Amino acid sequence: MAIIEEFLASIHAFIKTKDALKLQDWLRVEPPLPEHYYKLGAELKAKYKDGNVLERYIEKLLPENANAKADEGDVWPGFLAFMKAYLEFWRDVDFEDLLRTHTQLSELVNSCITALSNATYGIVVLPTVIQLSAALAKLAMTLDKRPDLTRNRRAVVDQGGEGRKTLVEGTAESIQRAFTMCLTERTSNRNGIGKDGKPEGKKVGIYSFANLVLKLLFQCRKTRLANQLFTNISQNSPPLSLYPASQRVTYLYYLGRFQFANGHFYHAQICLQSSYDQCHAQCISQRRMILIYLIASNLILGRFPSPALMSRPEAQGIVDKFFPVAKAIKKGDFVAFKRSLGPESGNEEWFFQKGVLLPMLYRCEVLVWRSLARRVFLLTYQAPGDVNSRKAPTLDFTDFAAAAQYCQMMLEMSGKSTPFNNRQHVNTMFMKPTEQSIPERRKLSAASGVICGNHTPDVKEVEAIVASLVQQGLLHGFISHNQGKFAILGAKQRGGAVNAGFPGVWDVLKTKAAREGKNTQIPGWVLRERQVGGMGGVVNLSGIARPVGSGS
Amino acid sequence: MSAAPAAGAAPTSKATTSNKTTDAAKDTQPAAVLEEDDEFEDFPVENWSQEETEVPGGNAHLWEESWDDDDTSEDFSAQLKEELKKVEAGRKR
Repeated sequence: MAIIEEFLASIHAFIKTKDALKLQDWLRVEPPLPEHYYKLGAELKAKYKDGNVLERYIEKLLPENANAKADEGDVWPGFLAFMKAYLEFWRDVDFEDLLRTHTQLSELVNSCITALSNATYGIVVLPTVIQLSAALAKLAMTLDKRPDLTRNRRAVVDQGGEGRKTLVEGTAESIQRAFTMCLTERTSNRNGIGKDGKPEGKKVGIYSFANLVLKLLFQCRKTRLANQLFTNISQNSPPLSLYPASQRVTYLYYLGRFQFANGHFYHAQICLQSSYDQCHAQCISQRRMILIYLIASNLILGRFPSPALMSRPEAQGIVDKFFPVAKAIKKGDFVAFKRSLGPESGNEEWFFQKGVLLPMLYRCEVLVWRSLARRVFLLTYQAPGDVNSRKAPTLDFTDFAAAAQYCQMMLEMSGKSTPFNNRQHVNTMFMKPTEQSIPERRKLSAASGVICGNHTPDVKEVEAIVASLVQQGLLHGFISHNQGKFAILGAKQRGGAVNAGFPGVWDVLKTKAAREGKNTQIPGWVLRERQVGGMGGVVNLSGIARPVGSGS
Repeated sequence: MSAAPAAGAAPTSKATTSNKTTDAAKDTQPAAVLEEDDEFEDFPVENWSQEETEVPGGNAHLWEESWDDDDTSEDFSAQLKEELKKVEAGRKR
């Protein structure tokens, strides 16, 4: 019996018994595979070069069963087309040519997704679509790291003429079709949860596909395209808790990173903490990736890694990068802070690659200002001798400005011994004599100065900063513009001037988030069953079928 | 959904592609300048229990929430103090 005949006979049997897992196990593409698959390929090459002949042969061996019983499965046109695509893949594939393999595998995945769309029988190929999509995503990720292979690739231009898409983005779009199909499937229970408490029908595949799409979108740095995916999940998905742990942890990792990239650090922290808590204890690599963004979010929110966290195996090599940042924030030391994130630290490139450099630089700076104000207050405030004095404790803006000016001066002085450190133009033609006449001061980039570059902070500016800190709730009191002072409110009731004037950052931000309901509802994370009914069953599907590349 | 075939296949595909990487590296710059952990790896198993997530010490005390540093004797404070003295002297003048 020829291999192809044997193969199709087995497939037919799995279809009839609706054995989705066996189908998945047989319809594989990712090497290494048993010799049988290569023999199948050779046989197809020898006998079925002509696609029409192959098609007729498949139809003969996979006949429709007109007398199928209610509980029996059956073939359908989409499946026959997929089987043809699958056999053609094995006939034509050359694993040495990765780029061509990617094109062939994309076609195969598309064909399998079309087979999945059949309302009655499609679900039997769901595990197969997941497996093929995972193989396709992996191949796309590999190719993305090999520009030498993709250099000559013709850009995939979509029909809308929106321009060139990268191979990774195109792959994400293909897989998003399967995601949308699973997400929007009409199920007998309107909330998408079956009688066994598990996601019903194709909805079981939602997060498998979502995670593949997210992986690809993060790889090609088009995370904004994930917006639509998260919106659609919020509207149509059963609760995340009904899905397996690996899917939950991966999804929350990407959702947390998405929230982080969009400046929603409180939400990011909740997603990432949950992802970390649910991650398998022995999956150190994944725990490490989660931890990078979890620590960055927490630093911005005023929470620093504890010694217990620092001693974890997954924290090794990470915490020592973040530690100097936390230390500088604690002291209000601008010089140490800028250094901890600058090239001197040796970590700038690493922070940048991970996408945490700029958020930390701009957001943690607020905390450094708060600590600096606190430090100046500690150094200058003298409690009145009279315990019953009604005079409010104050921070003088002249003092605060002097401290800021001192920090600015230290930043400009640091590293002056190496002339190439100051970012002057390498061509001496463009160097003005005036710059050379004051060699002590280093030229600072905008982000390297206390306020901006080489600008020296003045009283007016530090007053504005205090006003901003008060508005954010990070300082508690009021400003007397006439006296040039910040006055602390409630020193007696709140256990002293320092405690009253400088409340804990995390406490302030947590309370604020709770007030805004940020800890109970997180966009993209379905915590509870959707409330259904009462609206006459109208489900708004507009926008759902939008492809990944069409923007939001 | 079975994790078995996918999990079994995961390391193998890396083996095939890494061979190619070595070949290409001979005549081009090594493309693999990316860090070893730039990607969120697939999990080797599909599902696990709450118990399997537990690590020694638990996750209750991972974060320091009160970290304000009142020590004004260290270098940075000492230097600031000097600066502030100058301001004070200026006021008295």
